[in-house]
Amino acid sequence: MSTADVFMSSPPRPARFDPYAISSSSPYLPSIDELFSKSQKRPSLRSESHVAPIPANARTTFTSAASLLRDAPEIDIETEQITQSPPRKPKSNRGRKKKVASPERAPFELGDAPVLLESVSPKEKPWQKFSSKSKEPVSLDEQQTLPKGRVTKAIPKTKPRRKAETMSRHFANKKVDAARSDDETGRNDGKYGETLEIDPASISEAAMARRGTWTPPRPDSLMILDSDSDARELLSSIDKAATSKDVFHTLFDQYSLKDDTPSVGSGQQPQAEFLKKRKLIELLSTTHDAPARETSPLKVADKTPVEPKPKKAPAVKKKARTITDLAMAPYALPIEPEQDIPGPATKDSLLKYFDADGDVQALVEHQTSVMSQKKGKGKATKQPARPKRKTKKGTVADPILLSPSSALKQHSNQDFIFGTSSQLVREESPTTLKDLHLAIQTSNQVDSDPFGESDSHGLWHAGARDMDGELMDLEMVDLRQKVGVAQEHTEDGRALQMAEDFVDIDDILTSSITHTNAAQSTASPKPENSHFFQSQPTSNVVPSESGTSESSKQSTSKPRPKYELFTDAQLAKQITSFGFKPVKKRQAMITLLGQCWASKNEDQPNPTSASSPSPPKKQRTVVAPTKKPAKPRGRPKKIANTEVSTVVASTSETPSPPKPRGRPKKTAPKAVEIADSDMDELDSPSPTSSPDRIFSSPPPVDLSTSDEADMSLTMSPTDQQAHLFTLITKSVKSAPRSTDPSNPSWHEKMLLFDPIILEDLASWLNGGELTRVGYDEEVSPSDVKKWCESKSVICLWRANFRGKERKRY
Amino acid sequence: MPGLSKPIPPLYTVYILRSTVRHSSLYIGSTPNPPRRLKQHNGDAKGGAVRTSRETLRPWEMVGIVSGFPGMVAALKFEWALTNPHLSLHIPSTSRITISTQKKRNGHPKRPRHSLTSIISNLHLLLRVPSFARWPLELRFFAPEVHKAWKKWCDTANEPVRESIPVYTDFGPAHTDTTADESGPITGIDEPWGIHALPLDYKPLKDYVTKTNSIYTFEREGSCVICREYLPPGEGLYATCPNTGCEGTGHVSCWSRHMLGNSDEDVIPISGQCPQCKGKVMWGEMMKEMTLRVRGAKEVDKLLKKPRKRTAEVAAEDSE
Repeated sequence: MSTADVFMSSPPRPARFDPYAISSSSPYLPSIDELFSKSQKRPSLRSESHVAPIPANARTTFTSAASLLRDAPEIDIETEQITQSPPRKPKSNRGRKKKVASPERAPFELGDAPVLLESVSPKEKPWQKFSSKSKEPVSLDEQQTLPKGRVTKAIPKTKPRRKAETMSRHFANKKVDAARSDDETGRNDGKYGETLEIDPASISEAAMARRGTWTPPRPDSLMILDSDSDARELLSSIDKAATSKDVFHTLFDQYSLKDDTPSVGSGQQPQAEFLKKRKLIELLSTTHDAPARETSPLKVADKTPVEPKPKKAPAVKKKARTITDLAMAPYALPIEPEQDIPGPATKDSLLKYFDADGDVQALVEHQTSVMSQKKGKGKATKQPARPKRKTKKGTVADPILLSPSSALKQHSNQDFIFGTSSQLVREESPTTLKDLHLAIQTSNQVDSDPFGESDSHGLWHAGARDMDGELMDLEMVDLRQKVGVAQEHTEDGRALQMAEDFVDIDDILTSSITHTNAAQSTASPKPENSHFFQSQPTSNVVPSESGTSESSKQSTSKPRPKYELFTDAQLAKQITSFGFKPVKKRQAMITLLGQCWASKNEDQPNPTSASSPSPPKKQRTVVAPTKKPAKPRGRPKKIANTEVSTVVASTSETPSPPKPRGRPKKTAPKAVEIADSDMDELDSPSPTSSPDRIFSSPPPVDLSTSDEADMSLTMSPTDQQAHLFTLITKSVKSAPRSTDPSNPSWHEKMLLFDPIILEDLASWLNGGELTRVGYDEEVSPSDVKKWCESKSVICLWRANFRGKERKRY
Repeated sequence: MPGLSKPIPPLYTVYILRSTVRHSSLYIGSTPNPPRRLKQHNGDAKGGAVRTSRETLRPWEMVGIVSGFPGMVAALKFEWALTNPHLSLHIPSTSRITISTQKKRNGHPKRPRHSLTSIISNLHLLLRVPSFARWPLELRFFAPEVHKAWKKWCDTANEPVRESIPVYTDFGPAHTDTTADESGPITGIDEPWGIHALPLDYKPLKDYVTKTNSIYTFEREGSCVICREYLPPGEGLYATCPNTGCEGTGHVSCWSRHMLGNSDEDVIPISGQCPQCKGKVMWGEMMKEMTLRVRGAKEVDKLLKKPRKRTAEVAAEDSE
């Protein structure tokens, strides 16, 4: 708990400080004229501002802890109302800022802050940010010293450091944007200062730079954060922006100061004050604005900023004022008991809230978030969050989590909560992966809290439910990515464990899918296993380095793609890529692709993966379509079957599916010849049964080739074929005429214009007629077809286009 | 096969259907009964093709017919080849006229749109293709422009259709053209014309069948006119000269060998001379009669019953 608290406390603080400064700067900066007008009033307020800063230090500490506790629970409880949480944070920030300048006076007081900065009062540590900016115009040295002072301060140090660590990723982009904006704005500001001539260049420029820096980043950052859709994200972003701005401001200010100093040696205090005041005012207003964006009234926000003082008030009652005190009092008190109090409070609130909703899962999620804050369990949430960050899977993960529970979907707020918690955890998580692992373990083990139990298990179960649901595919993808990430971070063995866990989930999912498929295809459980294993290597095994033989396969050849996960369209594309006609049945497509892949990758070690006795039926279905594609006419089909059967008979190998898959293509070329020779053995096809048909898929291709060959042959028969044709003609003509009118000879059939079944004629020719004529080789039905067509003999394949026996001739 | 064998149908046609509204709309089909099929295309009967279902294109007319197909299989083969001249393997790639330039969504080549010229040219080509060249086909044109297109193409084609393919024209009452079909009992002015004048049954063969029926019923086959071997009744396929008054009978294989002459390569004869009466013999006609006699006892009975009822005298004359 202590560690968690520390982590939790640290991030919110920086956020509080930064957001105010940022928010204040941006909106007010643009209105330079207003600043000038207001500047006159500032001097009176300045004195007041001095008083405020002193308490600020104490307040910051207290407020930070309280705010942390408050923020987390608030978000959880008020998930629906994201707006509330941000205002609270701004309050804390406001309080700090107010310390510098009295909250009520805020607009004018802000002007005071710069004065203080000019005076360089050490008391105003929180103001240093502002002071540094303001000081920059005065002298570079002062500015540098001031930031150092910040570092020395415990609170600011912790905040910026943490922010920098956690936020660095986010900051990078923001910083870049901010820098660009700063440059542009700074230039513009400089121009204004010159034109106005009122402000001492140093001060004015600094202010302008600040304005520029502040203004653009806020809207962008805010907008981006808003897009993220998580209130916490917004807050975090603000904090990040603030920190980033601080760094940039300092840097930028330094640059600006250099420029300013040469331009104008003496800075006019009133002008600078105006600018500063305006900035301060802006800060107040911005703080209000930031909340105001979420909360409607700006004025109320102004009052709310006073609240931070009340926070301080418990520590220092002097500053506490009526409205602010009232507002802050409830918040301030719980600060100390934060750790214990927030949890239960959140739980109660969550319970009530969710009870109304009636969604247990939502409760679980909230609990998880609470747990993460209170206990190390939060780390568990962090774990998923980190991978998301790394791979940007978070986006994917969120929908997944939502999908599992339909109730969650119903409540968009719940979704936000989940995302926010994870994000918060991420910020805090800069600790190592160990924390994540520990958190995972703890989350799994935690039974103490009823909610905690439900949370840890609930989330995972929810994930599983999702898996069971339609989201299987998405989850699968996520898991793969996660696994990959885990591998990247293989530093800890636990990461691998995580990957394994994910794999297990996938396996379960895949197994379920395969089961369903198998049930449909009437496949035995064995095939399922085969699919299961196949699927695993591609997704999990590959990344996890645990791949055994499969991994070797992968190394040698690409892993078998998970056709089960493909969409119908993708499957169709794959099938077409292999040269087959699209198949309607998904199962058939998958099996066909599997065969194609196996054959493509050669026989190698496929048998394990491909070995599934059940597939035959699937293959059958596949075969038929494949035949069709080869040649639409369908004549080849029967040949294919016969060929296949013959091949099988010759090989007489066990019908084990693995072999067929590897073979089909190889056999294909041979099949034609064999089939031709075997045409006589038409009896065999029936016994061959399904396994043979499995092989049939390749034949169609052969048939197509044969057809093409036919084309060429018919067009310009080679000498060989011409010779063969003469022999066939001779054999046909020389055959004895039948004595049974109802059973004419082949020659008589031809003369009668009877359709000649090519297979039968080929088998008859091969049955001795050709040898009788002096031709020792055998004739293929395709050759017979060419001969028939060259003789105007009406010929047919045994099978019709649909692959069935003809009933009419 | 044996059990399923049927006699050669009296008529099987592949027809060119044309929209009377828009002459550029053409359709190719096959049917053993063109009038019935035309009704279907025009929506007067069930079973019309979808392509001809558009009401704005109706009525349709059959402007050309290829008849004489020895069976459904042959007709369907020819129909498909004529419908898909860009794909048909019966057409040598060197002589292919219609070449598809587009592909369908499924990757198959897209059939170029039919035009009268394309159909006529491909018909001309298919009649010369080895696969169909020796079939006992006939051409009938029922529209002058189609016939004109045919003749024009015959002039332009670098290779003529075998002369043994008869070409008939019947342009209807408006056009007084000769219907050379001898078998058709069409003589009156009010007689139907075009496809409606086509014989849908074996009536044209009645005399022929009557003659052969008497021969084989009374086992007067005698000896083969070619090989002079004795023809044991019912122990082989014997064919009889179709010419009136000639009872020359012989083995089918002998007939074919005789009609093919010296060409050892060919299997199916087209036409020849009866060694007995020296008259011209069309192989298709002879085979039609033979298959009818051997395989179509019912049809023979049906064909011969009516005449008997009508006039016993005729039968008596025939018997004489």
